[in-house]
Amino acid sequence: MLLNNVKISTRLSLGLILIFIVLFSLTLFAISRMDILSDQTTKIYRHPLTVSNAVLRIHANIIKMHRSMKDVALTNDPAIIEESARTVDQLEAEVLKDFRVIDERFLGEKKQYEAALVTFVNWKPIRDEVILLMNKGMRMEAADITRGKGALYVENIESAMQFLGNFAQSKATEFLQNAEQTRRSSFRLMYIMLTIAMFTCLLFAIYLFRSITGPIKALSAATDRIGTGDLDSRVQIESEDEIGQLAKSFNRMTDDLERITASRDTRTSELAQITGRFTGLFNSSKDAIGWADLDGTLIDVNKAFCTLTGYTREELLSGTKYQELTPQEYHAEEAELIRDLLETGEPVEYEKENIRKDGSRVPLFLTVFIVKDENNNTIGVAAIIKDITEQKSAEVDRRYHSEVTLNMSEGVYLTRVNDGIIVYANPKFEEMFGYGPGEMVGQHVSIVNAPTEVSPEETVGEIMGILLKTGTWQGEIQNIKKDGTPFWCYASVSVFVHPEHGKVLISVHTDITEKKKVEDQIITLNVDLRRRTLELESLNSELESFSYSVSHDLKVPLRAIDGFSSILKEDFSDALNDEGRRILDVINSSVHRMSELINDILEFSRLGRQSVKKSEVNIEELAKNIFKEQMQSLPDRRVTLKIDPMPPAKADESMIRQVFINLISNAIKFTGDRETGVLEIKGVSGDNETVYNVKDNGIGFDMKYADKIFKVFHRLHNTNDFEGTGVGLALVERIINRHGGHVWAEGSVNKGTIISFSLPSETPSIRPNKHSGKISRAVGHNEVVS
Amino acid sequence: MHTNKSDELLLIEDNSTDAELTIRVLKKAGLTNNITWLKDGAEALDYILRMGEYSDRSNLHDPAVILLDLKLPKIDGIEVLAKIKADENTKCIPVVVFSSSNEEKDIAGSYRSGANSYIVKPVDFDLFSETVRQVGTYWMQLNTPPPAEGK
Repeated sequence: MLLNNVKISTRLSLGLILIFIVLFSLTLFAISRMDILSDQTTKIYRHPLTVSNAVLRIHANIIKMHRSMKDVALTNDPAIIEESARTVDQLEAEVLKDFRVIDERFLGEKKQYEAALVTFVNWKPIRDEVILLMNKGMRMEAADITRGKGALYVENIESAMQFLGNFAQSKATEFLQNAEQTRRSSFRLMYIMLTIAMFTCLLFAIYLFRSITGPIKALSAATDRIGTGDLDSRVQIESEDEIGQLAKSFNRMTDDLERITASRDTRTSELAQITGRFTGLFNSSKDAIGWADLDGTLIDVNKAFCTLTGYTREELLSGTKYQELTPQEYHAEEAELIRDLLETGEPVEYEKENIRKDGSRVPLFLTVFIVKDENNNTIGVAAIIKDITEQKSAEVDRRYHSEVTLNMSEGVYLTRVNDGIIVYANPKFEEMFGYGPGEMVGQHVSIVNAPTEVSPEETVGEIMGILLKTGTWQGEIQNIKKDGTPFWCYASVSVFVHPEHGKVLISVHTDITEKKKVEDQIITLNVDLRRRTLELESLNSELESFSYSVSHDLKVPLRAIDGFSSILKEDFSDALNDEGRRILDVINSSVHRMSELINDILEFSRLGRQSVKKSEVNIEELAKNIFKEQMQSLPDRRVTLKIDPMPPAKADESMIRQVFINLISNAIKFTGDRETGVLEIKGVSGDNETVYNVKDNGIGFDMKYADKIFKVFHRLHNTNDFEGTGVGLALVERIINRHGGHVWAEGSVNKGTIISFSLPSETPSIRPNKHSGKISRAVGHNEVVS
Repeated sequence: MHTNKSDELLLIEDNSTDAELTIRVLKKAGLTNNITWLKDGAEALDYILRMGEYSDRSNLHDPAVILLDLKLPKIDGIEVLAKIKADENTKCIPVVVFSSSNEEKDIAGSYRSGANSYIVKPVDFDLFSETVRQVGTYWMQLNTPPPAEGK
């Protein structure tokens, strides 16, 4: 902008002057418009109103004069005539005065005014004549004149006056309108000018504001940037005003600052380069470095020193002496060495220990030398300290390892990879291979490997391949003793670089001849076992099919015997005597018994094959129903059933039903000679199993037969006393065993029998049959319901 | 001989005593005199399917019922049954399995192969007689056989 290079104070003054001019011109304009207005208003008062007032006064006075003239005409009294004439004259003077006013102010045409004045002036002779006639006493003539010519004149004057009044009125209205118009246009103009003036001022103010605040903001931003370290930042203000000056000064100042900073940085980095070489060394050194004054108070230590001692730098530099870190036993020796150092100036090296903050000791190797100031005065001692824990422990390890190697029960030997020469063999290895002490060293490795077969799986080349790839190899290998006996070893081989022999193989050998032997035995046994299992399996299935088909085929001849003996009885009854018929009956009953046996065998063998389908079985209800069914076919028997509420069983319903059928029918059968048979059935839930028992007051059994009671076809009673096949309890046992439970019997002769069995509560795991063998306390009737 | 209804009972039974007892009971009860007895599975199949030596068998009708034992020489009962039931011409002939076996696998196998009935042979002769009488009565008298399809 044009004003950019003008000073701000000038710009502000210019602005003020502009505003002043605008306001001043506005005022002038307003005043001029006021003048016009007041002119117009004045005109109204000067002309039309004055004229109008004069007309009104003239009008009134003429009326008065006319009345007075009438009075003259109507009276006889000369005094009144004279009085009236005088009044008329006075009024005439008034009227003429007003005519002069009109003459002076009237703005219309003079002709009309002059006509009115002439009419009035001409009325005078008529009045004079009337007055004259009255004075002569000629009243009638006078009255005629008054009413005639006189009235006519008055009328004329009146109309002239009317005209003049109207003109004045219209003139006044015209003036008023002009004034109004002027007022309106003045106000409109003033509004427009006021708006323009305000707008101009506003624009100017905005410009002024921006031209001042913009650069100030830029300046402030630049200051901020420089404040945050951006020394390249400059203020972009080109104006010549105060702010421009300020910006220039500011930029100059920034240039200076940058120059100063740059030179400082250069110096700092130079300094850092110089000192960094040493402080870097000091701080990053893996060796602990520290120096102390001549009393031993630590002046500075590096990070490694802190790590080594376990103290922080602050702790160490708050007056700690290095002697405090050293165990008592080293003090005298160390003091001696430091004295030597101070005397000779030659650095000293020695080993000692330090006590760490946590109380542990750490072995150290120190190099101590003198520290001098710029004037070459000795001011202290410095030490480079190495932690030699690892070296120490490596030493211990070496001793430990060699001890282990000497005494271990495995054989160890080292072979040079280059030429395959054995460089070490431990005593066990020598013993294993039948060599004397040191005899193997220096020989080629081939002396240990069986000549024919290096390894069942791997050749030496392959072993080496694996070794070089993975670093280790393990496996079984056939070796050979000094006397040529081959034997098996388990070998673990790895590679390492020996300080003396270079790359070597280290092999640890275990003699596995015994193990191999046992393994072979196990394999043989396993094969044998598998063969026997197969044999047993086929035998078992043969047995199954045998019992199945035999049972079926047995039925055919039985049926034939029964059928044909029946036919004999039926068709040849007459040819037989009583004995013959009895014999036929024996044949028939034997057939029935045989048939029952066969059915029971079939059932028994079926149980071995059938799968157990478990569900929850209500034992109480099951037992009650079976008892009822059994008793239905025995109307003559009196047996009472005592049954307590019982836990349900998780079992195969049809199988467990068979169990209760057998047990209940047995109990009923063996209480046959009692007047009232008593049956008690109970069930008790334990932790892992539920035990059910069926007790009767029947004939009981001798406990010495307890181990026979559950055997198939085994009976303790005569068939004539108690019928049965001897399969029932065997079936019960088989079913309970298949459920994972066990069964046992208790009783004594004539004192009843208790048959008990258990069922596992939860899903059973296969458990040993506790009943069979020693746990079976049971003895009892071996009789069974078919 | 009826034109529409066969009075032939075909007994397939390898055991001669069982066969004799069965035939005796049937005849004594007056159920039928037209009993054909075949002793092995192969022969039975030839007969039923009109093959081999029975390829020009003269009787027009199929048997009213076949009493089939399961344990048979050459071809066992279940296979005979399956073949009968697999053949369009013979599958409608009622087959009653008449066996000593009470084994689940025999019973299930028979029904799976299309047996119309399964009867366990009792050992006791009285029971046996009664059973045969009832089977004969049912299949020879009460039961309406499938209509012969114009052969």
